[in-house]
Amino acid sequence: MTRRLAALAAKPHGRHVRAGEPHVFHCNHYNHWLQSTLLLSPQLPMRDVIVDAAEEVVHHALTVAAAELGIVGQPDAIARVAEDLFAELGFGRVDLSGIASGGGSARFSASHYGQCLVFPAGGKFDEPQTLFDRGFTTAAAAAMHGLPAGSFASEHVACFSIGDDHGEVRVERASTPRPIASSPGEGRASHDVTPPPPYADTAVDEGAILSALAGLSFAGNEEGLVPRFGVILTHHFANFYDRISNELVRRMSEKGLREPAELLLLDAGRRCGFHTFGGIMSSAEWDAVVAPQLRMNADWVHGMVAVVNALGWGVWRVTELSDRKIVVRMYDDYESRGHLGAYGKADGPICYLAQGGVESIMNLVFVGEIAKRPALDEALYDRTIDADGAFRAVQTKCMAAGDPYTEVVAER
Amino acid sequence: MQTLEDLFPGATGKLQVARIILRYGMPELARIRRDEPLDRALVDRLLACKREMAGGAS
Repeated sequence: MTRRLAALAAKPHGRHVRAGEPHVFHCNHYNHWLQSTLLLSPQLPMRDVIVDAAEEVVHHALTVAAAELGIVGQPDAIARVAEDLFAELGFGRVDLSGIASGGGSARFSASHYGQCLVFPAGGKFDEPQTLFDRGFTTAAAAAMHGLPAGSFASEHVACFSIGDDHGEVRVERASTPRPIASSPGEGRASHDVTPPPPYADTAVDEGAILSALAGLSFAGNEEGLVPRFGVILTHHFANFYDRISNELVRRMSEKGLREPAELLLLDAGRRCGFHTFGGIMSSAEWDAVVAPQLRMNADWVHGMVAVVNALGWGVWRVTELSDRKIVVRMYDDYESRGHLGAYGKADGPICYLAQGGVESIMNLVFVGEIAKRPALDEALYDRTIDADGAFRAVQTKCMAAGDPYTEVVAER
Repeated sequence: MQTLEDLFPGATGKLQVARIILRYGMPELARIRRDEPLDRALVDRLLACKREMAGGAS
């Protein structure tokens, strides 16, 4: 299985960049909970925001990739690269051969958003969930034909998530391109800070863990999916997450509802941590690579943080840890970089995923007793956040708000 | 008289209230204290929202 792709670059501070776009690993649970949060309010046009955010990042990536691969002006070659990118990143399998300069259809034989969100949701949906796939298709159509983003309108014809046996997106050339935001690309940092070395007082060897993980493949399989650690991963566009999260907060803030929006984004991050980190800490890969280094509960936390540093999220460093408190500093975290690049300096903390992630690690280790391999179900999730001894995370510093690093403190 | 804490206890309950605020366009809930007595009509509406949201994927 050979795919034609722009090169994936390992950038400083653990960042993964391909064709000018930073990528981060996230699972179907986060993708479901984040999207379902965005789609809660029928008054907000968040379906369009999600489609346009996908088009923003994919159009940028394909434009850069076409230049890098020397295929500018070759629609068929760009279509093949787009199909390969979709599969490589874990989004599924798409056939773009039915798209011409005036429009056409993309057919999906597998789709992360179409097929993998039903597991955390507990069943089929009433509305298509493949909004990312729609944006991917319009972006590919525009990039194939050298047109700006926004040049094609789209609609769902079929979607796995509502029970169809395939996915299909129809696109049609728009008379006037609709405005699509410019991708911030790699975003930016507010300070040039070198992360300190990993926490010393632990048996966990982060370097060895990162080396071992580097030997595993996280590319999409034949179906273009990445089933790993008991979840289904995507190597997603960081700017997509940042855009849709920040747009929800911005729009809800205008209605005086910033707090509930932030609470739900934090919960999406917490669910991401619960399922992805829980899955990782229960996996054969964990048993093989990390478990031999674990001497005490605290080592589980350090082992998990070491794995986080392979996800493209930036560099996490534990600076304080007990069974009642953790302090984690994050260097070049993707939420801050994306905010600084797209919106500029934030007026307060905006790292919802980071807060939820730190909280979930502590709750999994010290409340859910992940070492005993409990079932990672809804009952355990509720118990870990409702328990008297549950950890609560607070973001105490934020790179997007001008601090040299992001810091999250979780205590109970 | 029932309160938000009675109807939606704990941290999971706070999340349910946040979802109802967004889903049903009820911003007034964000300004009600967790221990504040609710009138009967609001309690009935919240219970209906809770039942509907427990219905599954959408």
